[in-house]
Amino acid sequence: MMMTAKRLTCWITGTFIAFMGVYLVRALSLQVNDSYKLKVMLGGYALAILGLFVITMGTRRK
Amino acid sequence: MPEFAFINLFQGLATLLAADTSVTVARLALIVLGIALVYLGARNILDPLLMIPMGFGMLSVNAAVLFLAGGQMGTIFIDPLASDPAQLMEVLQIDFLQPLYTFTFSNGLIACFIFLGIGVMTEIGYVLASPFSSMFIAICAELGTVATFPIAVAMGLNYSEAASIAMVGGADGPMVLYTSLMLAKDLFVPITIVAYLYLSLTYGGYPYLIKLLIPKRLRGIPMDLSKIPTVTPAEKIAFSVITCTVLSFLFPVAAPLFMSFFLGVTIREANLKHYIAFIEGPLLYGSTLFLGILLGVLCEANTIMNPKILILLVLGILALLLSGVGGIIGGYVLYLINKGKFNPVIGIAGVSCIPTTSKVAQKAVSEANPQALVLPYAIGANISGVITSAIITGIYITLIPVLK
Repeated sequence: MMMTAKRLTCWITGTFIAFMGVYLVRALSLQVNDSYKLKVMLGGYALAILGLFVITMGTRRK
Repeated sequence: MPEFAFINLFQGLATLLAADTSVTVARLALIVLGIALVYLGARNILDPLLMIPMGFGMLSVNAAVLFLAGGQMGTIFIDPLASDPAQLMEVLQIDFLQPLYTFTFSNGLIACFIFLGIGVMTEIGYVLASPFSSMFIAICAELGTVATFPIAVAMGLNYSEAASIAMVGGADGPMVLYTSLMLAKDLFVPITIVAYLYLSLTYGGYPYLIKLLIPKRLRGIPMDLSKIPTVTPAEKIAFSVITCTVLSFLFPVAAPLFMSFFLGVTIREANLKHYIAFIEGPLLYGSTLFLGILLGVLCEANTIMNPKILILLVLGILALLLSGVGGIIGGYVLYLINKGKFNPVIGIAGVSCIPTTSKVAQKAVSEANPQALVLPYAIGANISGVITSAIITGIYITLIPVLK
């Protein structure tokens, strides 16, 4: 079955968001001040989970 | 002629008489407990796959204490506390279960084998079919793993011990084993034993919790199975690969668990029949058998007698209870969001004791309404519970050393 454009968009967007979350947790949080570190990490974890949710939207079909 | 003591011919009895009264009582109690576990396992009241080997190990190791060199008492089963390389090399040649313990148990490998087996048996499509409800319930069902942590700290455990015992709320044996090995090596034997004993009780205890918190009218709500979309194997594999990569990046210390689980899922979806047969059969059953035996022989009175054991027993049951309640609260929230079209019993399946809690949920629903089928939704929540438990494991293992 061919993947529709909408589902493909979900997969690409979700993967991008999830890896943005990884970037925040693993890279950016190490470079910011201690006062922002926890916020950046939590934001990263939230983004990663959001990304995985967006991917699951791409598996849905009527 | 040297003096001859007849009792020394039977060293198991002689060591019983020579030891402190508390140790003697503990050994006898553990022998009785071992016999009880074998009996309850054989009667299918507790999980027989784990309880029969565990009971045998427990009764044997406590009966088989003998006088070793230098007049010390011990067994030739296992030495869980041997860490010095020279001492370990000697023990490996004497204690018959030491090779299994050292090379599969103390490094968490056996937990990964079991996770691989769980992955192969897991239909991830149920999570992808209803990701929001599955993950929401699973997050709610982590109430025990989160709320028990501060309670444990307040009761005098340090952060590592508190996190390890709190993981019992995740109701996932390999996860508790892994966390306690990483964080609280001194207490991992009693914590793991408490966890597995309680986990075997979930099948008997959670139905009462469901009946207590959910009226029969709500337990019988049927779920609409026509809304479940089909997900192709390729999509499941792609999802597994991306999720495993993301989670391994985020929680590298728990990466062996993520890799094992998602590798198992991918092997299933790729339909690698020889691997599936090997993992589902010899690897999973072999790991469960040896896990049971090792847990049993670790219950030697001197090893398990720890002043903190009573606290661990209380916190373990509290964690499981809170997780069950949290899952049911999640079920109620979804019941309200869906305007009465969601069965709140599914909430109990968020506790990741896979597949036990799914079966418990379906059984409770069938008793209230024989026509109602909730198993696909329950399995979705169950699998999500495994994933959220692994994430909490990763968070604890990553953050606790920083907090110290």
